[in-house]
Amino acid sequence: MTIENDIRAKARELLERDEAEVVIGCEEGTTPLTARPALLREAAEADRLVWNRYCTSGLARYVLEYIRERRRQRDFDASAAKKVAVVAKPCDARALVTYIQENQFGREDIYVLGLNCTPRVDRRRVLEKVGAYRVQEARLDGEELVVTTTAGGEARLPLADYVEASCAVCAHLVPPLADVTFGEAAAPPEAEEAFARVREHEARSVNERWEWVRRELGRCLRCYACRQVCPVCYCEECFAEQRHPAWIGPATAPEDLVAFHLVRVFHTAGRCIECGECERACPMNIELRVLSEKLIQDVKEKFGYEAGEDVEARPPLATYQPDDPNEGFM
Amino acid sequence: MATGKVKSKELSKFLEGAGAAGYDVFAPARGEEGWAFAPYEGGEVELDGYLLTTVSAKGFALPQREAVLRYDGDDGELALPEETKRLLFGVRPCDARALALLERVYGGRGFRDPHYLVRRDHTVWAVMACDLPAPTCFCTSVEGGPAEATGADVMVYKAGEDLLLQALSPKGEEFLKELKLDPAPDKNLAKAKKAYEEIAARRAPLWDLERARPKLYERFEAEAWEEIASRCVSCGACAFVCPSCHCFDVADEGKHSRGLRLRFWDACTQSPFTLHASGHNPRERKAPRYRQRVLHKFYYFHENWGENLCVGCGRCVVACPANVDIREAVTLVAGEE
Repeated sequence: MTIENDIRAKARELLERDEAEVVIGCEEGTTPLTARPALLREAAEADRLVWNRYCTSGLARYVLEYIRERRRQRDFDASAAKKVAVVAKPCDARALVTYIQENQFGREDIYVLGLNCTPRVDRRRVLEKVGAYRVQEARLDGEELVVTTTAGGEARLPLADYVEASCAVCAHLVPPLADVTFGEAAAPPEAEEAFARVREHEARSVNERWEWVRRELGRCLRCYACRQVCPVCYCEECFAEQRHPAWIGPATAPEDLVAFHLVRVFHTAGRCIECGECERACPMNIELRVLSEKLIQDVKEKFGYEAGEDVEARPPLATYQPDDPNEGFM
Repeated sequence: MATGKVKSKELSKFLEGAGAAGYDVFAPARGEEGWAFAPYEGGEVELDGYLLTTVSAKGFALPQREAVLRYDGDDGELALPEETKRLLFGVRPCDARALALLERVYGGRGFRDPHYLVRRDHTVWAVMACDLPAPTCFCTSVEGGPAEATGADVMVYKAGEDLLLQALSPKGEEFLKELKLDPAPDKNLAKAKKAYEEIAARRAPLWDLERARPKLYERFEAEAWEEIASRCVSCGACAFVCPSCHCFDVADEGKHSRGLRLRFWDACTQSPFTLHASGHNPRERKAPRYRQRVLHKFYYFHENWGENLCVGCGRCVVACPANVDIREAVTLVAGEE
C-alpha cells in the first residue's frame, strides 16, 4: 500500500505547511465495496485517505464546488487564498483541465496529487451478481474478490471479470495535469474495446433503439444524481429546472425524461471526460454511457478532439473552423 | 382475524387466485435496476434473493407523478385515480410502517387527501416478514422490526415450506375471506412469529433513539452536519428511493386555459427545494439541506405526530452516489456527550 502511504504523506505535508487549505481525496465508505469522497482540513486526518479498488468517486466536482463556495464568502481574499489540493485519477485530472479551459478557476488555485491509474472494481456488477442487499463483507485475495453473503455463503469473483465498465475502455491512464504523481499506470485496453457499446447500440434497428429509450430513460426517477456527479454538468441553473420558460416539464412524463437526458448529454459534447460517474451514480442502473460515448466518438471522429487533455487546447464547441463538418445544417 | 396457509411452492396459485378475485396483483420481480414491484401476470414467482426493491413501495400510495386535477377554461375537476382493487404482495415491514406514517399526513387528522384515500382504500398491503436482513437494515434502531406489522393489511410469515398469512385490518380480513384459504393453525403462527423475534433480537439498536432525538435538534449548529454533508452531491436519490419521504411539488402542464395540475415527488437535498420566487434561497448550502432531511426524519415529524419518520430500510445508504450514510449522521451528531 505504498501509493496510499505516499498520498497520505503528501496530504499531511500540504496541510502541515499550510500550502493547501483542504485536501480532497477518497476515504473508506460505510458499506462493503465502497470508498467515498473526503474533504480533509487537518494534517492529523491524512490517514483517512485511501487508494483502493473501490475509489471510483469523481473528485474534481468537489474542487469546483469548494472554490465556488469560497468565493461566495464575504470576507474571501483571493490574494491570500491557499490551494485546494485534490487526489486525482486521470479522469479527475481531465475534468480539472476542462475547468481551467472554461475559466472556472486557474491552474494556480489547485494542487494536483495525480494518480497513474489502474482499473477500479465495478461495485454494481458485484451487487447484481451477489444481490444488492446480500453483501455482508468483501475483501481482496490476490486477483480475487471474496464476498461473504448474509446467507453465510462465499463468492469468489475474479477481479478481471468485475472491472468498472468505464475503466475497461479507458485509454487515459496518466493524468494530463499533476504537481506530483503516484503509482504505475496499467496498460491501456485494446483499441477495439473503445465504443463497443456505441457500435452495439448503432447496430440495433430503429424500433430496438426506441425500445432502449423507453426501457432505459423511461425508468429515470429524475433524482439528478447523474447531473450532480457529472464534473462538466456544473451550470448554476440547469435548463431542466428553469420554469420561465419551462424547456421541459418538471416531472417524470416519458417525453420529459427523454428530453432531459438528451439535452443534458448534448451539453457535455466535447467536454465529457468519460469518468462514468453518471452511470455509477444512477440508482436505477440506466445505461447512460451509451449516450455520452456516442458523443465522445463523434467529437473524436469529426473534430479530432478529446476533452481534458490540454489546458491550452480550444474545445471544438468553443471555436470555429471554415472546414468544420456541417452535417445536420440545411 | 382471518388467517391463511399457502405452500411456498404454490405462491403463484395464490397470486393467480387474487387476480381471479378481481385484484390487480403486484409482486417483487427482478428488473434492470434490481428488484421492483411489477404487475404479476401469472407463472412462477421467484423470490430467491429478494430483500428490498430498489425504489420503495411508496408509489402505490403516493405516485411519483400524478394528475390531481384537470382544468378547461373556467371548468375543472379532481382527477381521481381509478377505483381498482390492488394486491401488493411481498412489501417489507419497513415500507408498510412508512405507509402508516404517510397516513398521518394524507389520511389522518386535518386534511384528508382524496387521491391518497382512493388508493389506500383499494390496495391490500400483504407484508412479508424479513428472515435475512441486510447489513444496511436498521429498522430495530428506529422502533421497527423484521416482522413489525404496522401498516400491514395482511402479514406473511415463512414457516418451513409454508407461508402463513394473518389479516390485520378489515381490508385484509375481506381479502383473506375472498381467497378462501386453509386457515393457519394458531400454534404454527405463534412459532413462526417467535423465530422472527429471534432475528430481531440479533440486531441491536445503533442508538438510544429517545436520547438521540433531542440531541440532534439541540445540536442544530454542530460542525458534524458540515462534515457529514461535505460529500453530499445534492441529488434526490435518497428521497426518491425512501419509503417515507413524502414532500411534493406542484406544477401545471398544458396551456394556460386547459391542462393538468400535477403533483410529483420533491427532494429537500436538492437546491431548488426552498428557492423563493424572489431568488433568495434560505437553504442555499448543502449542509442545512441535509440537516433538514435528517431532522425531519428524526425530530420534526416526531414533534408533529409522535413517530420517527425514518423506518430504517437503508435504501438511501445504498442509493447515495457519495455514500452519505444517515446512520452515521445520527451517530456523529447525537453521539458524544
